[in-house]
Amino acid sequence: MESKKHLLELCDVSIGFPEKGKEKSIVTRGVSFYVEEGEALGIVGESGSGKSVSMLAAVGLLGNGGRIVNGTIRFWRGEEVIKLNALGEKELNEVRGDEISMIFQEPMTSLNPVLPVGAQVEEMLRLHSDCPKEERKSRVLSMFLEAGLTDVEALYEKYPHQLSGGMRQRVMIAMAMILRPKLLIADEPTTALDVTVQAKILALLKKFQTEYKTTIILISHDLGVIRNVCSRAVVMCEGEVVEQGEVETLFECPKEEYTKRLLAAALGKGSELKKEQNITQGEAVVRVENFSVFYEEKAAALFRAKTKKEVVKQVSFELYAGEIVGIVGESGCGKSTLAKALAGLNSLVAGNFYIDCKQPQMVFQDPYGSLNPAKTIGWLLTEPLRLHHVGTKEQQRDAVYAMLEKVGLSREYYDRYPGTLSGGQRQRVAIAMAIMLKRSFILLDEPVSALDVTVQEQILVLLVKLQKEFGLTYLFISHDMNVIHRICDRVFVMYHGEIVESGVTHRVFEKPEHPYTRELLGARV
Amino acid sequence: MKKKRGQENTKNWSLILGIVLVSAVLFFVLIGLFWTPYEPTAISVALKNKPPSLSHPFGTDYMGRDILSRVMQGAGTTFLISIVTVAIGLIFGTFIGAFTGYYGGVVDEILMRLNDTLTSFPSILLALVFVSVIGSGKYNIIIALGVIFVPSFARVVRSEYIVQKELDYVRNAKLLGASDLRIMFVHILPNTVPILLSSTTIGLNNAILAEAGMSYLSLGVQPPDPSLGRMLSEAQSSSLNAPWSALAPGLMIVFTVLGFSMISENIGRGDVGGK
Repeated sequence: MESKKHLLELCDVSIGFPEKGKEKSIVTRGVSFYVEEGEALGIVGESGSGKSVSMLAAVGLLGNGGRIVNGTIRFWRGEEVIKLNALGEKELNEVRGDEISMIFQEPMTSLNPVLPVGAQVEEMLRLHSDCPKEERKSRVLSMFLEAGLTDVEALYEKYPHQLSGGMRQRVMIAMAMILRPKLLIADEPTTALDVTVQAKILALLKKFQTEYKTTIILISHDLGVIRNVCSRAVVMCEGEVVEQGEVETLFECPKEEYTKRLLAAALGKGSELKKEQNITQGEAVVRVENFSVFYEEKAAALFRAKTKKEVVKQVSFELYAGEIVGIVGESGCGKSTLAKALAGLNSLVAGNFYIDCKQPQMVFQDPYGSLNPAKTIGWLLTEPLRLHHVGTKEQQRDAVYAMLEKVGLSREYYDRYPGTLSGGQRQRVAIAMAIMLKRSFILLDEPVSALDVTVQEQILVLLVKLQKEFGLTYLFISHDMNVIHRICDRVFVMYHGEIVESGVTHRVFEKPEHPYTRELLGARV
Repeated sequence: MKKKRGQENTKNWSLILGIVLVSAVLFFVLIGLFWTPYEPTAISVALKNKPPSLSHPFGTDYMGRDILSRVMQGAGTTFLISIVTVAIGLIFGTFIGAFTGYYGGVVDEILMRLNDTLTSFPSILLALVFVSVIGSGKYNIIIALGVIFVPSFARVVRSEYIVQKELDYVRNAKLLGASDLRIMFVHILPNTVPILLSSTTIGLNNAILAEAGMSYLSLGVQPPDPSLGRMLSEAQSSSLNAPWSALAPGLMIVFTVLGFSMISENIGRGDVGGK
């Protein structure tokens, strides 16, 4: 191990962004770590921990006037060590792409939407190599094949919006790998993808690492992803390196408190938050029979009739009082559409459903969109009471205070605006809003997917507590098998608009019957 | 969001300068409502076309009236016309924009095509047509210009509503049982305030210029009442022997428009509202 050289090394790096006023806000403080040639290093941390920023600094891509305030970044180029932070834009351009390349989280925005993907990958060759024109296309095509893409001739002429998320990410990887860079930096490469696709992309990265001895730095908030690919990992928190070491030792016996918490939250697969119960008798609270949901596709031509596409196909199920039932599936399988239709937000439906309470309430995935930014928290929470004329003004105010306490927020939040709250706090407010009217049935549409793992944990605990306290019934929609496993009594697996498997959670997880369920469980990293 | 420091500074400066300009102009106009150095309509043959002096800082016009006094009062008239005009545009435009944007469908199509037709003519030309139908004069000008300002406000508000109505907070309000009207005007409207503020200031600029233009064509404020546009048109006829008579009304328009532009530029970048 000693003989291996450190391909990239960050020494005591601090990065600052200018802020209003005079002081620079420092986002990372004294970050030091290295990556050995040929290894896969993981950088893990929650949002805002500085993991992406430190890698962007290394390749000179800090935006918004951010700069390296202190420290050096060394890179082993050819036979000499160069200081990346001392290079000018022109020299950096030679290193970037040629020796270091990068993949970003959102493949839709990192590809140019107005150019065919073939031309975009070819551009790398044109800019960085003296490969003759005739050879370029064949090299791009063979690279596409290597990246696991099929039908490459047709793909060459396609535009990014014509590809699926997984395919786009493969194109990005092809683009990043075509020059055989020494170092590949992957910034949350699978976060925007479905679990089954994620597993394939990670396998592809591992393949490149072993075949071409490419050094990989993988940035992720997901410990499972890191564990799957990397041999060594760096844990970051609030701009500082908390712990680093071999992945196995780090995961088996973490030293720092923060790592322990992160691990507990992420790998708490076994620890169920509530005792699973089987209440499938008595009166059903929700009964859905042969229920289909459609959405209107835009007419192909001006006078062509609009066509209806069946997104949810003839599903039937029943929910009983006090249950938490999960619906799991990939994006586009119709699980959110189903929830919205049950809430009455989609009128293009067929079949029957019956819900044993007035208008059910819903908690949405994105807490940034679901709270009106122009109103205070107090106003938002009073709105349901105001609309249904519940109590006097004083009683409403007291009820809101009580509800704030129930969801773990202090009274001072009453006068604050959603813009000043963190994602987790906002989701607490959104939950409070949903249960304000004391309706017994609540739809939860990916309520924790947009949150960091440790915050996810808190919100799940809160949901379970409130469920017990108010005797609520939840329909819990999620793409995350681990989350489903931890809080649901029963689970429905949805695939292409149909419920392909349903049953008590532990039965589905231990003895999955449908091949798709098995695939989902297998893709869990 | 983090912004570059340099940008931040110039931004603050232009905002401050804009506020200073607008408040100076407003101060001037407010005084003009109660007191002017001379009677704005008092004619004096002896003082005809006098250049600026201590007793008449901006000189006198071709009828011997004090230009400073006329600007002080005329600016008030011009501002009244432009503020009422913009208010008409703002109120009707917001209603139309909110309904068409929120509901969409056939009504939206019809109203927006009408809107397109209106905007496809130069606004001054349209105002001329209106005025020739309903007659000239201070109040008719307000109505004519007001109608012309409706489409641009409607368009801005409509596009904002189309974006906002798809957000989850609107869905949430629906689930809570809020009526469409309540969603439109209690939930969504406050979120359009930043964009409404900036289009209002731009609208004020345009209205001042439009009034000046209409009065210049002697379709607006009728003599002997002063207005900035009217004064400019009168100054033109004596531009050779009394060039100073255009200075005061011209500067007034420049300062006002510049001040509002500077403010609206800063508001338009999203510094106001939301957070």
